[in-house]
Amino acid sequence: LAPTYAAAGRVLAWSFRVGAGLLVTGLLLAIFRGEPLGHELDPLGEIVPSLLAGRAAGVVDLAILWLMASPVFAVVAVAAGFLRLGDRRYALLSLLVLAVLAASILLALVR
Amino acid sequence: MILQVTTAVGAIVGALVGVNADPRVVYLVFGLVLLYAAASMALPRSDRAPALGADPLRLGAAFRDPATATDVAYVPKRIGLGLGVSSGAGVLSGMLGVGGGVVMVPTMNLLMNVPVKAAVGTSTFMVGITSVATAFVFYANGFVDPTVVVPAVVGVFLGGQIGPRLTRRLRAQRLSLLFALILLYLGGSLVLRAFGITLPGQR
Repeated sequence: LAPTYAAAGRVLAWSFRVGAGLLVTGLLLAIFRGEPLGHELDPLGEIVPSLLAGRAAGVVDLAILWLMASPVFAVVAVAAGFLRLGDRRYALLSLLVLAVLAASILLALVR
Repeated sequence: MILQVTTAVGAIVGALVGVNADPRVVYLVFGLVLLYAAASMALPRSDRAPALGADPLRLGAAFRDPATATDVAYVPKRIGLGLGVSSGAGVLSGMLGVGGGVVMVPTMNLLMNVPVKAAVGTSTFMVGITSVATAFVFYANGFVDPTVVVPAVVGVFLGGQIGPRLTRRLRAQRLSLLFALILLYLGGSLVLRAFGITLPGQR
């Protein structure tokens, strides 16, 4: 199991680096353009147009959502690891956890 | 992963309850949970696992403890009880916006016979997953504030670099005591805040 856990750790570390990179980019944009950050994350439907318009708040919102979702990528790595090992029981449990997380994320996206 | 299923479901239920709860109730519940955690952390806990016994679910594991330079093998017990408590921990963590580690570590260590270092490591992984289940519910209700998240991420990143290095050097008992003192302060101040009392230096 050690390679599976190591893979999950690497996925988490890289996911955090991507999120932190996005966050720093958004902050630098906000500082240089003098754009204030909101006190609430925009709904997903508003984040995409904000990103396309190059607004700092859009980049910061995306970074925060990315960081919030990062553990999902680790669970995917764990599920893939169990499947590679042929351990159906724990692969199924991992997929069940993923289904619960997907339900939670869907709840947020349909607000 | 077994505990994570019920914890994540409980966390979503807790988050849905938490967004509609009275803040004073949330302060009181969170404060009492932290005081409980402080008491359990302050109590001396064994890091030695009991006899291994049967392992029908293949949950047994082992790790190298650098503090004692020994290999520790263990088989978690009372899985059903752990599932029940972890779903309760999920509800609590969802309600309060915490990852549930303050409940899961004592649950795994005291009820399921998981050595404390393995419980802390497992809980750390679970906290992230439980947080996903709840964070999006809070996001849906507009309770995620980017102006708070940004400095918190910087602080968590720096602390995350320093913490594991300190943990290797500090003895587990001292670490537990330090953690208990911090929880005592936080829990006490939250309980007081639930009754409208703020400590000096707090807003």
